[in-house]
Formats: sequence, C-alpha cells, structure tokens
Amino acid sequence: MYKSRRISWRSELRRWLLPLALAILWEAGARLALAEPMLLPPLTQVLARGWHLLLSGRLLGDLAASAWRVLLGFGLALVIALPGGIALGLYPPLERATALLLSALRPLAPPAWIPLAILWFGIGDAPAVFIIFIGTCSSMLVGTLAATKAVDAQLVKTALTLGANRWQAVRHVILPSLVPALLTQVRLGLGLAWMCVIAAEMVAVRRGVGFFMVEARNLFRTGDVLVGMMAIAIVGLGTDRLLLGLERRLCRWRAGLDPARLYAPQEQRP
Amino acid sequence: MSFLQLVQISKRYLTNGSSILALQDLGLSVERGEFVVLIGPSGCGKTTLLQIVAGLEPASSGQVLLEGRPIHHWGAERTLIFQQPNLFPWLTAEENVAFGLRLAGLPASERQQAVHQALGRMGLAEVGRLYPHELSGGMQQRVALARALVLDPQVLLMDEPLAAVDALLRSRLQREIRATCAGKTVLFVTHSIREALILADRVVILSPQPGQVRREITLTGAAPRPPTLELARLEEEIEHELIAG
Amino acid sequence: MKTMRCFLVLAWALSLTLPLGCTRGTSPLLIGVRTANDHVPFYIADRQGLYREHGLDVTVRLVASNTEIIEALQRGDFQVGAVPVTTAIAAIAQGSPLHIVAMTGRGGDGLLVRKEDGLTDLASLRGKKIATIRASILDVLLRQALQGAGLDPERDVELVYMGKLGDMIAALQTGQVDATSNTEPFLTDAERQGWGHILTYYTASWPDHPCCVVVAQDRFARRNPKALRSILSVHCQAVDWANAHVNETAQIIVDYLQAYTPDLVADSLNTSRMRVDYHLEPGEIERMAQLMAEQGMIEQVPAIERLVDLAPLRDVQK
Repeated sequence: MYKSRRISWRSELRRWLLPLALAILWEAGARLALAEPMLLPPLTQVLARGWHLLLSGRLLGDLAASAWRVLLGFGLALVIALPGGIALGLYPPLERATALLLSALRPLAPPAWIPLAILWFGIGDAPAVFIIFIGTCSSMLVGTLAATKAVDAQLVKTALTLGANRWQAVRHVILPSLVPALLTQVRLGLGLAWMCVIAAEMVAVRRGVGFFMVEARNLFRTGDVLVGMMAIAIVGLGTDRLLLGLERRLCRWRAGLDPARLYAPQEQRP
Repeated sequence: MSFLQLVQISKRYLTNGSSILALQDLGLSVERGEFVVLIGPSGCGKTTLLQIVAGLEPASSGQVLLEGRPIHHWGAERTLIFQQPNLFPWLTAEENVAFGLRLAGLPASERQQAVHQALGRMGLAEVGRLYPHELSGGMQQRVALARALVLDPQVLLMDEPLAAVDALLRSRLQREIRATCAGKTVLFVTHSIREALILADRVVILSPQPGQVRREITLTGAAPRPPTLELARLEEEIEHELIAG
Repeated sequence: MKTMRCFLVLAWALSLTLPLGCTRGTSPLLIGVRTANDHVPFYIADRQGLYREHGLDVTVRLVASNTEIIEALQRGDFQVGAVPVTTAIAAIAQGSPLHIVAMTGRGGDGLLVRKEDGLTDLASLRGKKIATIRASILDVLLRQALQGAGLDPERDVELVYMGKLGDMIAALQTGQVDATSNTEPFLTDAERQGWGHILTYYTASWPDHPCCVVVAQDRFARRNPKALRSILSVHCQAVDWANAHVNETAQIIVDYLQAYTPDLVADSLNTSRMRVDYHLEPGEIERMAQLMAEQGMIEQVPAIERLVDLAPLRDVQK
C-alpha cells in the first residue's frame, strides 16, 4: 500500500512539471528584462493584478456575462445539433437534402457572421449568442452525424432480432452507443463556444471577458490581457474536467476498449 | 405443412451496376424441434438465408412460412445468433440477457428470475455483474446464447456461432448448445462438415452461386455424436463432393 | 593600360562604399497615421513631397486603428505616429517608450442625437443609451461632459461600447441607441442629411481641447534628432498651409479618406468646430491625463517629462 501511494505522488508531480517549468521561465524572462514590460509583464505581477480584479468583482462580473452568453448560445446549439445530427444519420434522404447547405455553411468561421449578427440583432447579448450558436451548431452537427453513421450496425441488427422495433433500437442501442461520441462533441463544442464569445464580444457589448480584453488592449494593459486569457483558460479547464468526469462515470464500460491501455504502466487488476 | 417452410427463396443483390444472384428458388422444410445444419462452401448464401429467415433482409422473391403464416419482418420468435457475440458493451452480462425481456415489457422480478435461470444453465451464474470486455470470448458467446434462449423463441437461427471459438472450448460448447436447445427448432450454419455431422438431426448441403439445396442427409443417433468411423467416412464423402463442385 | 584598369577597378570598388557611408538615415522612415480629419497635415506633407524637400525619405502609412500605430511604434516599425492624445497617454502610462512631441488637431468631437427626439441639453440624456468607444478620447470627454451636467456616467445613463465610428452612427440612425459620442465629419454629415442634431461640442466645456497628437519613438528621437526635427518642421509647414487653404485641404481629406464631399469637410473644418494645430501646452496634456486618472483609465498621472518632450518642437520654431 505504501508503494502505490509513492507512485501516485510521483505521477502527480509529473503532471505539474511542464506548467511549473513554463511559469518559472516566464517569470525569469520577464524579470531579467529579456522582453519589454509592455510585451510580457512578470507572472507574479499578472497574478497579483488578477487577484485584484477578482476581489473588485470586475473579473467575475465579466466572466459571468460571457458565461451566460455561452450557456444560451451553446445550449441552443446542443438542443438542435445533437438530435439533428442523429436524425440526419438515421435518415439518408434527410441527409442528402441538407448536405449542400451544411457544406456551404461550414467554412464560414464565426467571426464572419459578426457584421450580420449586429445588423439583425443589434447590440447586447443577442448577436453574441447568435454567433456562438452558429459556430458551435454546425460543428457539433457534423460530428454527431459522423458518429451516428459509425454506430455498429451489427449491434442494431442484434437488437432487432431480440424483438426491438425501430424506435426501441434507437433508444436502447443507438443512443447508448453514441454517448461517448456525444460527450466528446460537447467538450469540443464548449471550447469552440468560448472562442466564439471572445470574438463576438469584441464588437458591441458592455461586459464580458472578450470586451475586457479589448479594453485592456486599448489601454495597453498587457497584464490585463493575460489575466483575461488565464481566466478563460481556467474556466475552460474546469468545465473540461467536469465533462471528463461525467464521461468516465457514464462510460465505465469503455475501460477495456481503450487502446491506450496497451501502453499504460501495469496496474493492479481486481 | 411443416413448422418452418422456405418456399422458393431467391435473393438478388445489385452492386456496382451488376447484379448477383445469391439464392435461387431455394426450398426447405423444417419440422418442429428439428436441428437442421446448413453447410456449403463460402459464397453459397448461408448467412443471407439466415438473415432472410430472421427477417433482417427481405427476399427478392419467395416466402418464409412459420406455422403456415408468412413472415413480414424481424421478430424475437425467430432470433438470430451471430458469429460475433455482439453483446451490448455498456450493459453487464445480466443486463444483456435481460435485454429482450425488457423490450417485451416483462416486470423486473420475473425478468431477474428468468435471467438468473438462463445464466445458470450456461454455467455463468457468477459473472452476471461483469461487463462484456471482462469476459472471455467463449463466455461472451454463451451469454449471447442465454440472451436469445431466455426469450423462448420458436426458431433459433445460429450463424457460425462457434467459428471464433478455440477448438478445446468448441466441443464443450457444442454439447451445451444441443443440451440447452433440446426440443427447439434450430437452423444452424457452419463451414465445418464435422461440426455439422456432430450436431445435426439433418444436414442440408448448399451449392454456391446461386445458392440452392444440393443434398439433404438425415442422421441417426442422438447428437452430439461421438466420432465414429462411419461419421468420418461421411465427412470425407461430403468433402469430396463439395470440392468436386 | 594596366594602371588604367587598376584605377577603374579601384574607383568602382570605392563607389560601392559610398552608400555605406550614407546609410545612416537613408532607410525610409515610417509615419503611422489614421484616416481622420486632423491627420491631414501628414496627407498634405505626403502629397506635396515636403519630406523629400527636406531631404527625408519618409513613407506615410495609413493604419486603421490607433492601437496598431502604438504597437508598431513600440516594435520600431514606425518612428513617428499620430494618435489621439488619450491613446498616447495610456500607452506612456503603461511604459511605452514614446513621447508626445507636437499637436496635430484640436476639437471636432461632440454628442450627436436624432433630430426627431427633440433633445435639447445634456440633462435630457438621463436614462438614455449612449454609444461610445471605450477608453478613447470620445469616452473621456463624454464622461466629463455628463459629469458637468450632473449625470453619473455609470448610473444615470446606459453606455454602449462599440468599436467603430461608423457603427455608432448606424446604431443611432436605426434607433438602437439614443446618442453617440462621435467626431467630425460624421457629426456635420448627420446634420446635413437631416436626421441628426449635434447636441454639443466638447469644446463648449473645454475650448480648443487637444484631440490628436504627434508621438515619436524614444529610440528614434535619441539616435536621429535631426530627422525628428525635420519631420516636425514639415508638420508645422503643413499645418500652416492647411489653415491657409481650407478648400484645398478639404479636397485632400476627401481623397485620402475616400469618403464625403469637399464642401462637407470644409464646413467641418470651420475653425470653431475642428482645427489643425501644432502648438503644444504641457498643461493641457497634464489636464487630460488627470481626467483619465479620475475616470480610472490610468492608475497614476505620469510625470509631465515622461509624457511630453517639447525640445524638438522648440528647436524647430526658433
């Protein structure tokens, strides 16, 4: 028991080694004035500034504003893209009918929609929500469609021959098969949503992390820009971890199917 | 009228602009409780035939009659067991076996009892809580068998279920299959002539391209049959016949 | 014959070293400016070849954003730039190696509303939506004006931050906002079109307030003081010319902005609304910096010597 505890301590350290090394490099480089203070302020200064902004409520207020837009836009996209992708995957005529439109919309990066969004939705939350929706919906739709088409047809046939009708096959085989892929789509989509909100906020809003970063740039506060980036990174990390935890709980049965296990160090098997 | 009747089954596939006739006017009668084994070289449409009887594929022409009534689509009364166990990886062994019963709406307590019984008969009572990836290939195939049998189907269709199983386990499973399928109507497909002769009440030999019934051999004695000289001679005879074409 | 050939080769080799002797100062200098009314002295200098007359190799670059000009100055891509005074102060407060060396424009900013709303004074803006560009001179002067009328910019009005001057005009016209803090010639343009009404010019509370200034990179000023003074000399010359030839100046602005009509621009250049000037008072820069500190855009007011370097302009005017 003592041995296993020692091993896990070392592997935890290994995880933090790279970020720690980068942090030291950053601090040293900035302090030694290898770069101008406006280009890269020292890490400790940035962290202090970040703490100050946190206490003053400014940072949390902006994060909340952005998070709200992400929630609305991404939530809407989720509700449409996941069932939509599954429907397209199960009904080839539907997929054929929409294929041209989807291919045309795909290369349009979210920032390309900004002028139109402002024109249609004016100022405030609406254009940002719209841009997040457009950006994440098409990506998740395509991903879900691909995952649906990749569902093992043999498993579907098995369900049928055990007495399932079409709807039962969808509910009891196709949907459970898709859970890992859908969770991946959600993780990717959420990351994309945060990128979209930053771009969308750089145009016409009152609060939000993207707005905060534009303001910081216009006032040449590089430290603040970095604080904004770190805030987004932390939020992104947090939600990612949550989703990974969810995936682990919902997909315990995948443990044996993970190819990475071949290369992992030997663990105790029950 | 026999229990299961295949009437002039034909199946045509269209691929790359050309059409392939997989089965042509194939007819077969199976009596209730009979264990029929279909053998033949690859490409003779054995799998296609089973899929048609299971209702997973439509025949291009002809009918399948069960107790005199034509079948229209798939159903648990004609359940098919595949070459791969095809267990649902997100369900435990128990939950896999309970799958069909859940679909049929059987209440939980009765379900549990039936599942427990089915697994017990396969000798898998202790592994009920394990996930498929934690079971060996042979165990998985047995769970698949339990999953089908617990539904008490009228016809059991088996598509080379022991092909992926090693030789040592195979003979044991052959015994188990005959034991648990006692009294059931079975259509069993295999590429192994020996296996056919060990298991079958009647062996039906199919010829390829297009698939048709070439010869039927009714066997005597209780299955699974022990290896005898006569059996070996019959095996050689059938082999030569198949090679000769 | 041989000696002749030797001599020619030597002469040719020597001629190659000539450019080396003159490289100091012959790589083109870059001045970054925006497309704005009060940057016109640079357009004039560019068009009339005034830099060449003074022996300078200068390229005037039109850049879309103030922030980019400052960033280019920091990198050393530009040596001189024209930016709003607030941008210059913010950059210097954060440690940018720059100094303000001259003025280029004064006035020209104000509040625009819709004529149909019938708003008459600043107090009537209570509870209304006002579009402005965050942390710009429009923002600073707007807040000062609101506070002067007894309104709290954070509580008594709703400020909407946008990115572009044109977007704010469009937002006002379509009713998404009720007022905008904007600059000439948009203000006069809106009035001319009939739908806009200039509520006030910020010159009403701060006459002749500085708008845009000329900034020079410190390293450039140190290494090449002569070139900097020459550039400023050209600037003063161009300003004087602009003030003497309003109509031609208006035409030049139209050419460089590729927008508006000369008579509209000439109208907005009317001395009481917006004018080009090069004179610089340290006091007014300090006042602007103090205003910015009060409004929280900079933490402290930098020392005046850090903000302004009057020496080059003084030398030119001797």
